[in-house]
Amino acid sequence: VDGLRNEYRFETIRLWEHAERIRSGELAELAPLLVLCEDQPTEETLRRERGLILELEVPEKVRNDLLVLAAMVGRRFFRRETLEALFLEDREMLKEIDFVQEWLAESRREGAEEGLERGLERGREEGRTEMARRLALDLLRERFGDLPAAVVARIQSADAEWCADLARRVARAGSLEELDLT
Amino acid sequence: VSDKPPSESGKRPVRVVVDPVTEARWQAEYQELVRDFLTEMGWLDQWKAEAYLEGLRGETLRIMQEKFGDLPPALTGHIEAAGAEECRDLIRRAVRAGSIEELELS
Repeated sequence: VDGLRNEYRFETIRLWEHAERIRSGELAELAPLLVLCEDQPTEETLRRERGLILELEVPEKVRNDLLVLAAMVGRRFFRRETLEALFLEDREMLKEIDFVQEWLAESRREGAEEGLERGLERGREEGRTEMARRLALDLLRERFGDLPAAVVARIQSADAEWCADLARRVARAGSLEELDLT
Repeated sequence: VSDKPPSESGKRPVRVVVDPVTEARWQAEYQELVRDFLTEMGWLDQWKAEAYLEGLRGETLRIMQEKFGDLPPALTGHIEAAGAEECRDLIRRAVRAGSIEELELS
C-alpha cells in the first residue's frame, strides 16, 4: 500500500545439494533426512541412515533422537513392517529416550498402584471377616460355654456375611442344634 | 494493522507479531510426534503394558516381603516371571496365607 513493502529473509539449506556429504559421514547428524534427498528412496537408504547414526560418536540421548527421527521420516516412504524389521535392534534404545521413559514410569506406577489397591482391598476384606468370626465365636461361647471343635472350625472357615447372620440368631437360639451348627 | 489512529501522514502503523517457537513448545510438539509414531508402530502400547506389569510384579514382591520377610529365590523368580493375572492371584492368596507354604505354589 502506497509503496509500503515488507521484506522477509529466510536462510535455507537445500538438503539434496549435501546428500553426498551426508552419505560420506561428513554431515552424519543429517542422516535421518537422507531419504528426503532421493526421489525414490530404498530400504538401502534407510539402512545407510541407520549405519551412519550408529557410527556417530554422540551422546546416547542424541543418537536415540536421531534414530527415532530416521524411523519417523522413513514412515513417509516405507511400510510399517519394513521399519519394524529395519529398526528391530534399535527398539530398546528408543525406549531409553528420556520422555518415553517418563511415559513408561507412569505405566509402572499405575501397575504398582493396582497391586497396592488389591492388597489393601483384600486386607480390609480379611480384617472384616476375621472380626465377624471372632464376634460370632464370642457370642456363642458366652451363651453356650465351650464349643465343639467342629463348630469352631466351621466358623473359622465362614465368610463375614454368614458370621453376621449367625450372630443375629444366637440371642434367640436355645441350643447349638437350633443354629444348625452341629 | 494497528488499531492506533492514523498518523499525520494518514497511514496506520503496522505491527508484526512474531510467534517464536520456544524450546518448550518445540519439545512438546516433538514429543507428540514421537508418541504418535510409536503408537502407530504398536511399540508404545507394548512397552506400556510391559511397564505396567513390572509395576504390578514389583508391588506383589513388596507385599510378599512385607508379609513373609525374605523370600526364597524360587518365589522371587516365580513373581518376576508372573503375568498380571498370576500377580493378582498371588496378592489375594498372600493376604490370606499365614506362611509361604500356604501359598501352595505349583
